[in-house]
Order: sequence, then structure tokens, then C-alpha cells
Amino acid sequence: MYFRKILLFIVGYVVVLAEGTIEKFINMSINRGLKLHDLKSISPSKIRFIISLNDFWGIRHIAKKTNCKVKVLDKKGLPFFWSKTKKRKFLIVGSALFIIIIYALSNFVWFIDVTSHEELTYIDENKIIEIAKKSGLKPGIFKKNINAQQIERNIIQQIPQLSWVGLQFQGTKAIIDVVERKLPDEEYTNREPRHIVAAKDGVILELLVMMGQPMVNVGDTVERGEILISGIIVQETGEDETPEIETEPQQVRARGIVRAKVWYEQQATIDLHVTNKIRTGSKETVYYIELPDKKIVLKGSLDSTFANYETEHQVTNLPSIFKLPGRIVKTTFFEVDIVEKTYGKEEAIALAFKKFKKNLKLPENVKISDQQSKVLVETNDKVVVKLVIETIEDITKYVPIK
Amino acid sequence: MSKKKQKLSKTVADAFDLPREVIMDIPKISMVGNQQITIENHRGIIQYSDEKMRICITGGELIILGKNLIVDSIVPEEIKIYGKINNVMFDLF
Repeated sequence: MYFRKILLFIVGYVVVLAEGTIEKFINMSINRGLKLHDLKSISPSKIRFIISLNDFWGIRHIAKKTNCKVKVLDKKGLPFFWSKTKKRKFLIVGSALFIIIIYALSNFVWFIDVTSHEELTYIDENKIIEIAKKSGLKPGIFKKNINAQQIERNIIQQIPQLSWVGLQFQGTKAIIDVVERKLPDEEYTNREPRHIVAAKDGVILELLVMMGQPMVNVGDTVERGEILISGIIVQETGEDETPEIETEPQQVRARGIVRAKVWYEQQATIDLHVTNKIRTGSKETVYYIELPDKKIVLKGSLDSTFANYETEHQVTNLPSIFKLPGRIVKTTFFEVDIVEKTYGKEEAIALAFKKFKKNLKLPENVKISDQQSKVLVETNDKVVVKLVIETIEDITKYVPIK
Repeated sequence: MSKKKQKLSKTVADAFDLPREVIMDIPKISMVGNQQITIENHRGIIQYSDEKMRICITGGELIILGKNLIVDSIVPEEIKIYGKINNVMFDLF
């Protein structure tokens, strides 16, 4: 059934309405070898049937002989479809052009991408792309004209930090796969001579020289910038050696550890009566668009219902392609409790130390060995103290030899 | 076809175990329930409507009564009819 319908569709068929002595008409068409399908009688003298396009031409002759009227109701199938599209030449031309263009464009490289298994540390992706461009791989190039091996070789030659380069294509995208060469640490490769100087004022506690000429001793007080370990080694003339032989001073890369006591001082004024704001946890948010002269609320209310609150703004600019003047602002109101507190003197000093330490931003491995405070002025409201923090830290700083 | 000739062809068909419809030129009718009827070896249509169909066969006619009768295909050797068939009758001379 379906197979026959598909076949009929391919060769084309006509839905015909015949009127007259239809029995004679049918018998005659059968005798002539015409195949009628789906005959349906509408009235005793009227039938509707389907006939293939090939057989249809024979029907007219029979209709004339049997005095039947033949009317074509519908034409279906590929031949009719084809003749219809033939009239729309531009449709065919357009679809053909579309396929040709798609096929043609897919033969070119339009995107270049650099991928690496690990993140690139020494080289810039753009540099690779630039070199690829110079060796002929640029967007818009015909894929078959690309000499992949040549480009790979060029990139490797020009960037010695790469150990392997692979070029492959995924559709219109060229992917340069690179593997970076692992380079040894700079500490071992850099041979430039240098001094070690003091980064801070302090008293030296520990001195460990691995390379260079120590210039200070344990217990010495050093100033900032003073040379601790010199990179210039002058051969000391021993008693056995003749003083006439002068050796050229040797320049080395000084290495060593210098630990020193360092003091930090600060004078602080502390209020004894403090009002603190503590967030209760409940919050309200409002979204609005901010225009130069207006605020359009999207969600929420601009006025908070809280008695005491802190506000936080979060601004999102609108996408710049539209060049709209407004921006979206999300404002959050945090409800706060205002707590008044009165500190004692000791408490206040401890707090001041805490604040001081925070401001110093000492590295984590630095230990505070001592801390002292001295009250300078004391009133009912305020305390003025002098704070001293003593730390033991590494004060080495590397300076190249001029 | 004379009676003698018919008798002879029947004997031949029986003797050689050949299908009778080929030798005797009579229709072979097969039905699928009351929904489909196929008539092979017909001689054309006498009357055609969606309730009554008269088909010419060797030595008479075949009358099919039913509802919504549709001729699915009609070729010189075979008629295939769909629809609700109520009655199949032979009207032989």
C-alpha cells in the first residue's frame, strides 16, 4: 500500500473526477492496460480515482469514446513539484548557491585557537598566533594551501620554550596544540652577581652564609640598605702567601639567611566608648535601574523598613553594545543592632595591638617575640599609648651589583 | 465456452493437479474478513457504486453488496476492493 503510494508519488499522479457511463469507462481503461487506483464512487454516474501521470494521457482518448467528462482535481508528485520549482528559478539558484557557498567556506580556516594541556607560563598565546600568521596560517586561508608541518616547525624554531607543536583542523577552526618545555627555576639559571642587603632596620640574631662575603656579625645593629652579605669576594691574603700577588675580586651571587630582631613602633589613640554596629542577619534587597536623573525600581522598595541599617550596592552596567545610559543596581539593606560598649584600659590596649598587627601585614611565618605598650596620656574618654612590637624575621633583600 | 469443453478442462486440471482458475478461466476470489475482497481473472465492471458492485466474470457476474466500497486498484487481471462487505453473490447464466 505505502510502497505503491511512494511509487506513485515519484512518477506523479493525478486525481481525476469522471462523469458519465463510468462502468464502460473503467472497463475500457482496464483493457487498455491503464491502472486505476482508489476508485470511489460519488454518485452512480460519478467516480473519483487516482491515476499515474503516464497513464493519464491515455484516459482522454477513452473519455472521448465513452462520452465521459474528465476533470482533474489535483496533481501531485515529484514531476509537478519539479515543474513548479522550475518556474521559480531563483529559488533553485539560491539553494544551489547556498550549498556551494557553505561548501566553499568550509574549505577555509576562519578561527585559530591555541590549546595546551597545562596552562602556559612562559609564553603568550598571542605570540604563537602571531608566528602562525607570519608563517601563513591566518583566518581566511584555503585549507589545502596550509603546510602544517612547515608551520609547526616555524613555531618551534621561533619559540624555544616549546617542546612540541601540533596543528590540526576541526572544521573551519585550526587548533595549535602546544606543549611547553619545563625550564629550571630561575634561582639556578640566573648567574648574575648580587649582594644581600638589609630590608629593615634591626639587630642580627642569626647569620648563615652560603655564598658571598659576610659584612656583619651576629649582634650587629644594621640599617636598612646596609650590605649584609657581599657578592664581591676579596681574597684575603693569608700569612703564608706573598702579598705581592693581587687577585682580582671575584663576583658571586650572594646567598644566605639573615635573621634579625626588628621593632615596629606606633602611637595610637583609643576611644574608650565605642558604638558598634552588629548585623542581625536579616536583609532586604532592591533592584533598580539608575538613570542620570531617575531611578526605576524593578523589584523591592528603595526605603528600608529597618530602623538601623547598612547598605551595600552592587552595580551591573548594561551591555555596552546598546550604549544605554542606565545601569542596574542591586542594593542590599542589612539590619544592624547598635551596641555601645565601654572598654577598660587593658582591653583597649589589646584591641589597639590587634589593629596594629593587622596594619603591619607581616608575613605568616614571622613570629612576634615581644610586645610592649606605654601609656602616654589617659583621660576618661581616651587613652594614648605607644605600642612596640618586636619580631624575628628574615631581612634579606637581593640587590644586583652595579 | 461449451459444456463439453468445460468438462474436459476440469478433467485436465484434476488430472495434472493444475489450478482450476488458470485452466478453466474462472475467477479466484479471496477475502480478508469482510473488509477486503480480491477478484482475480475478472472480465470488467458492469455496475459501480459505493454500495453495490457488479463484476463481470466468465459465465455470469459477481455481485458484491456492502458499504463504502472503494476499489483500491483495478488492473486487467485483478480487482481489489476495500470496504464493509455484506454480501457476495454469483449470478451465473
